[in-house]
Amino acid sequence: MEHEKSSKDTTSVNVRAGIVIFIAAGAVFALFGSNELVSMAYDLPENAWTAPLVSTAEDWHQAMQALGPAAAAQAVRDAVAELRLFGWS
Amino acid sequence: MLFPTPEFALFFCVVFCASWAAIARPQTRKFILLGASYFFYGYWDWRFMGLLAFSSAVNYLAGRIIADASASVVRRRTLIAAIAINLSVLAGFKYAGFFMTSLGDALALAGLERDLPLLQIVLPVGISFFTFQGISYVVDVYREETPAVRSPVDLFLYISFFPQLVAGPIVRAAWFLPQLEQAPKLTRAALCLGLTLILLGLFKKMVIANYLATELVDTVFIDPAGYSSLDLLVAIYGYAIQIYCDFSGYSDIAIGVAALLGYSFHRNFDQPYRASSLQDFWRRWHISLSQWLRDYLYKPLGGSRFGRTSTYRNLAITMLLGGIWHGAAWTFIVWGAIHAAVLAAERALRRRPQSTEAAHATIRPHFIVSAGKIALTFHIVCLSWIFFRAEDFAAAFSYLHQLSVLSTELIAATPFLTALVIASLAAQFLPAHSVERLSARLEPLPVVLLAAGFAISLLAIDLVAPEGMAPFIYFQF
Repeated sequence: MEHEKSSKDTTSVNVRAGIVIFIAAGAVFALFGSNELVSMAYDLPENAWTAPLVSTAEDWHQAMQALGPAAAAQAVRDAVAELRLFGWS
Repeated sequence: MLFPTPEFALFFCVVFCASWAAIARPQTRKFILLGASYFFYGYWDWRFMGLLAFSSAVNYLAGRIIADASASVVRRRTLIAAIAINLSVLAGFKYAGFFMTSLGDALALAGLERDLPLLQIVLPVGISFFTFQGISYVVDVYREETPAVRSPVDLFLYISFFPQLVAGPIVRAAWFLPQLEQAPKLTRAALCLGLTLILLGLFKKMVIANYLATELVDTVFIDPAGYSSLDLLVAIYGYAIQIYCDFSGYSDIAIGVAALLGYSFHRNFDQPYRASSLQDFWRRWHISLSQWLRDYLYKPLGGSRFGRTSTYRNLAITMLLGGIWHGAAWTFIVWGAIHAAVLAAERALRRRPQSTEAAHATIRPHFIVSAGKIALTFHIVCLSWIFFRAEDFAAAFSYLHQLSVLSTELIAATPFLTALVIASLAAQFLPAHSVERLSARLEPLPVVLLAAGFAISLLAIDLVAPEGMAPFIYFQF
């Protein structure tokens, strides 16, 4: 009985840890992947519900560009693209 | 809904929270996971949810009848009927078109050309995997290796559990069903292993497999004559890495996702390109399929118990059927035939009587001998991959012909892609169980560090990965 309770407690702690980890991943993605949020918003079917989402995503992306995370992410992408273009000669 | 997509991330977060919120109500938790699994499957094509339910219902009823019947004839007939229904469904969707085309070709060859109906049947995703799981359950119940489940929910969840539903690993009832009986728990070890496997799987698929598929393999296989032999050689090594990263990446994510939900799956790959023989390769590659074929096909055929000829025959049948399981095409049969022939040759060579010195030498082979065996095995596997990847025989032979020209100008295999292939091959020689050891080291870390590490790694994968995504190779099987 005691063991079962302790197992449940441990599980609850680890589930909470999992949720924290997922929220952190979502937050980092929202900061640095704001351009992808815009693409995802445009991929949604057009209707009255999704129109505000598109404008919110665009506003958010502009804010991230102004603050820097979007530009930092783009710099990494550009560096990888340059690496890919190297030739043998 | 593909694993490396925001849709799946959102879906999984909801399932994770909902399923653990129901920890005190095991039956409700099973219903949540079952509903999530059918939603996941229906997201591709809702019409096939009925097929999945039909397959589960047939296997559930067969299991109950076999368990409850006292007469062995009833048990046997039920087993045969269940296997026949499972295989008929698989054959109908997967092989009917291939059969009609092959029949038409054979009639044309015999001068009896006929206008046979052209069958274009949509293949339900994951049908090969859930059919094999269903068969393994019924056979295990018949063999009394696993008890028949009383609750249909358990069996339906076993067949449809979303992490392994569409591309494996093929989970055995004897491993999974007892886990449904136990109180679900999420340990720190399972949390860290799950997160590590998800990251590793995403890196393998989104970065390595996608770059190699879109920038090297697909380009070269479309027109092998347009590239040098060296390009073709790097491309086939690239395909070996692509298919490994594509499929083992999917398996890693599946095992990781299941671990986060409190379930343990066996590993499906174990550094296959470090195998020193083809037999060793099959102990390391798609382990759940090779074990399935061994336990439900090779051994029932007699295995190696009835002499050399029957062993070779059983090996050939198993590998040819293993080949056609991958796809309804003659190229897959040739892929299976190459593996069968080499496995038979290895067996024949092992049977030769050895001198005492030779026997002693086999205990600890010289490094160069071991390296030679690994290289030979890898190249045999690569040769078979050409048939596996090629659209048809003409394309495969064109590839082989261009390889034999021995031209050396590198066009498609850029330094970036070549480095990706070399690094991925080198990773095959990392110490065994590196992932498990890494995840064990993460366990004592505070949650904040784990969260930061996971989030930054996920972001890095997303930034480094190419735009778009090549489809998972094993979805077509």
